[in-house]
Amino acid sequence: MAHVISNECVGCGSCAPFCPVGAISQAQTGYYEVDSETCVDCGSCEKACPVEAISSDKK
Amino acid sequence: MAALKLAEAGHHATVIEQKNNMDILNRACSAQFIMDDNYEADVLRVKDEGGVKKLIFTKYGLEVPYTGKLVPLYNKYYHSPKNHTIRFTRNNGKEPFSYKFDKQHFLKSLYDTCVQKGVEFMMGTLVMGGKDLGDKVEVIVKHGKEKTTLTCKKLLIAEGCNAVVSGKFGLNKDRPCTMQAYCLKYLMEGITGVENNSWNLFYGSVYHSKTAPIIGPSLEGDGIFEVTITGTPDLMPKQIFKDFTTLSPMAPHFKNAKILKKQGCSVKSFMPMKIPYKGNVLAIGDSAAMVEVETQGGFLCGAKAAQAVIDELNGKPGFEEYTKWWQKSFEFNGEDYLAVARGYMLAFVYTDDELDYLFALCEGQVLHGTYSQYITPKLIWDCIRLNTEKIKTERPEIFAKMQKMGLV
Repeated sequence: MAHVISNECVGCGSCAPFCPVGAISQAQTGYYEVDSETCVDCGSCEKACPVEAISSDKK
Repeated sequence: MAALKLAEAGHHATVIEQKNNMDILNRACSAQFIMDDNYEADVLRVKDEGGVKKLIFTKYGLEVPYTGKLVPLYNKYYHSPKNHTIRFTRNNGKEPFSYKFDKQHFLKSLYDTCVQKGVEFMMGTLVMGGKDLGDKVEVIVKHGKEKTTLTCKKLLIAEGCNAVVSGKFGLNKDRPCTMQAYCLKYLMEGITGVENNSWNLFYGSVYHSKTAPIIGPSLEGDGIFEVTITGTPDLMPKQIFKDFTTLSPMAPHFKNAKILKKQGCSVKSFMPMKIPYKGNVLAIGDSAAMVEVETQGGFLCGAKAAQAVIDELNGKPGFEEYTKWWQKSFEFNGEDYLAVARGYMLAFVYTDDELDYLFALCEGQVLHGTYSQYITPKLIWDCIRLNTEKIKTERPEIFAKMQKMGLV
């Protein structure tokens, strides 16, 4: 199960550098998205998000 | 800035950038040029000559054109729970102590200049790791699903205070992380009771935040403000904002307020790097700092780092010379910085009633308008300590705290 970024995302990019597998990137909209195939569900991104926009797909 | 200076000197520079483009900037930042003399390594002046604006770093001799908006800040106010207010200003409110600027516009114009000068940009790219091999540095990058290994002679890390890449290159050893903070910045209209062109901090538990919420100007004109909230993992900024605007003494001023835009960031506060380089890798700006060098400090770090790289490529100890400059130029690198910061703390130490009492002692005084997080508390406590005997008599419990904090 991957982590997902909700539409609460403000596009600050704080999450992307913390992903150990580089699964998070900025979309053309300016907001960020998780590549579900690459995501290893470690949760590092969730802890980095200031708006609590990231959660595990399980939640 | 480093890439620009390297390109101007005829060197090939590649910038690895996480964002897809420089057209959108959503990371929260107060984005101010600070006019304190010798703040963050230089004496910065803003010149506007017939509509052409320039930042002038008067000590280093660097001039940076700027074509965006500038909003002067004339007064800084610290508010206690019952709104006793300490005022900081210059020349009785006639001289700005800082200017708010358009950071996205500034970055974009610098980017455009860099592109013109031949700097290579790898946009939408993350640094996954790397190794300093002695004669070169390998950097593993990821763009989309594709990983590539680049090589370079020297690597400059300018990723900001979260220092993730710094950690990957071993520069965060012996560098404790003291705090994880989360900031949200709300652009709002309809807030009442706030002076235009002022910077306002709110101290006390009545404001529902461990770190003082801030209301300051925006670039969108009078009456439109930025509200900055800083939270921690156990008290996130979204909740603080809700309570600050609906439950605190400021709530009536938000009755008809509307959010226009939201930005955010997460910030790790590391102790500063005393020696910000290892071999061929140099961390500059916030990557090596205790939170922040501010934008103007970042420019200087970039310009200085470019010179350091050039010197290194010519067989001189450029990184060593950069380190000497780094150590003496930023206040957080001072030996007594932490001790001063702890001793002068207002939050966490004094109750709301005590803050009201202490702030009331300074009310009516005009303290020097400074942005410095090191000098501001000194000014406040110098003012409070003019009343030490009064405090000892009237509020012995506050006096006891001051003694414990080394203030008397």
